[in-house]
Amino acid sequence: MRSRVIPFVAALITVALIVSLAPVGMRAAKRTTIRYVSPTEVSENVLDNIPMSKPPDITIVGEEISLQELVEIMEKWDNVTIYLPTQLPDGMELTTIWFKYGVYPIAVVVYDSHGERNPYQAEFGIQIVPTGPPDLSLLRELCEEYGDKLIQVNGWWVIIHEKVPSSYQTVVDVWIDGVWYAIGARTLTVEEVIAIIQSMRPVEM
Amino acid sequence: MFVVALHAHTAMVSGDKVAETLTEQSTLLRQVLSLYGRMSVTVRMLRDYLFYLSILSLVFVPVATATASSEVNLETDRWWVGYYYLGPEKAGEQIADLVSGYIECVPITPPVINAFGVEWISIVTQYFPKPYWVQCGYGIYRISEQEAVIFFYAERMDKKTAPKGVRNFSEVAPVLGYTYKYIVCRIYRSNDYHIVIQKEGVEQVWDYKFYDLDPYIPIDYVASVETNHYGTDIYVSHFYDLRYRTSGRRAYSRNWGAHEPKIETNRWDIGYWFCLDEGQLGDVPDDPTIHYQFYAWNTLYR
Repeated sequence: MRSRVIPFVAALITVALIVSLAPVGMRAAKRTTIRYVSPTEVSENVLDNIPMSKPPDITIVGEEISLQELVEIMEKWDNVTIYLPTQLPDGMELTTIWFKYGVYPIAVVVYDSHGERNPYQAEFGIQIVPTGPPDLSLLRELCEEYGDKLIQVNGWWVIIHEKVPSSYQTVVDVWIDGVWYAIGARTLTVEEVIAIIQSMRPVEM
Repeated sequence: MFVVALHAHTAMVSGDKVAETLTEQSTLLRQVLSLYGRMSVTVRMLRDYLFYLSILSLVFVPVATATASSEVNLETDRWWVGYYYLGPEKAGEQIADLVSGYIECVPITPPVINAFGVEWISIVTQYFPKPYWVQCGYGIYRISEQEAVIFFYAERMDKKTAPKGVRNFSEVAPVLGYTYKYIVCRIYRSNDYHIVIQKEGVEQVWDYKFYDLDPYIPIDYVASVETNHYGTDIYVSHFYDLRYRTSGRRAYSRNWGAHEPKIETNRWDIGYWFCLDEGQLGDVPDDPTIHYQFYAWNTLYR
């Protein structure tokens, strides 16, 4: 029996030593004396290689809530009534709402026809923030500068963005009663998104 | 292998010698078995050791493979530890558009080349469809085994500058051991932002302006340590006196009344080794900043 236990223990120790090599390597790296240099001592290429930092997205900082909770939060904030689409393309439905209290209450309502809950993967989403009415002169300035279209739908100011992030087909901003709705559609055209905006109505629970 | 060799050998001999060869082979086999029986204890232990080692390796190889497949992607992977501002549940009279905080400059040294550690404060201007922000802080970026760049930076990510964003570095480098005050401020009623960094909150070391942001309204604040490698030694990072301020006639400056301490990553499969604590200022119990600070460190090396 003993002659079997000793080889087993020896083999176990060998494997354990090998497995523990990685952290030892890291500790050794940490002990290396580092010389800190300023940005002026390195080339621009080196600085360009530093990846951009980024704050975590809403799925990391926020939590999922129900539509009922969102309506109550917005009412409590400043008697804000939120508007949501009443007509969506076939099969597309509300899958979840991400929420966080920031400077304002911030909600991202997610729609998808395959149940996707991640707003950055879903087909359609709306960020809702009650920032107050937009500064129209600034909006006009920005639209002129970026070539965006500023139009009115149902009497609401709408910006149709010319330049959109690579994973989106249409990006639109809408202001309704002092609430900013930032809309991102991965699969829908501008016309389809405008039709959705036209169908937006106050949510009544 | 022995059996295969036996068959190969058998196939080579001619038909009339088969019987004779088989007799020879059975004798050889008997001798091998006899030798095995008389094997010394040491050799037998060595054999068992190798046997167990191969079995245990079989168990650990998939684990090692899994670890290898979870290699860090320095471009996309992130680990954060910090404070997330939690605003009020009711609308106030005025909306804040400045955030500031003190951060001690400590050697947050990444373990591998091309990894970085940064400590920053941010104003978030959008979460969806894409996250946009204005940020300033300091960082350390490993460029070789022996060297790292230490820098102050200011960066913006918005519709105009996405997806790459814009980041600027100060010519002045931070000095380890000193504390710097970082301010991110929306210039009153405009879509421009002002970044200010002050040594010990007094001596101005850098100021920088970003113009024409879109979107431009601050919707959230964050103060955080961030790294793209879990092995970064974040030392004992210390943020304190995190404040926001409103602009206009009735301007006021307030500490972050509510906040959520968080340790986050997009790579939970690798894990995290960070700790976060609000800390204590035992010798100055009346200091109003006591609840608006945090210490963060990691346990990987300690």
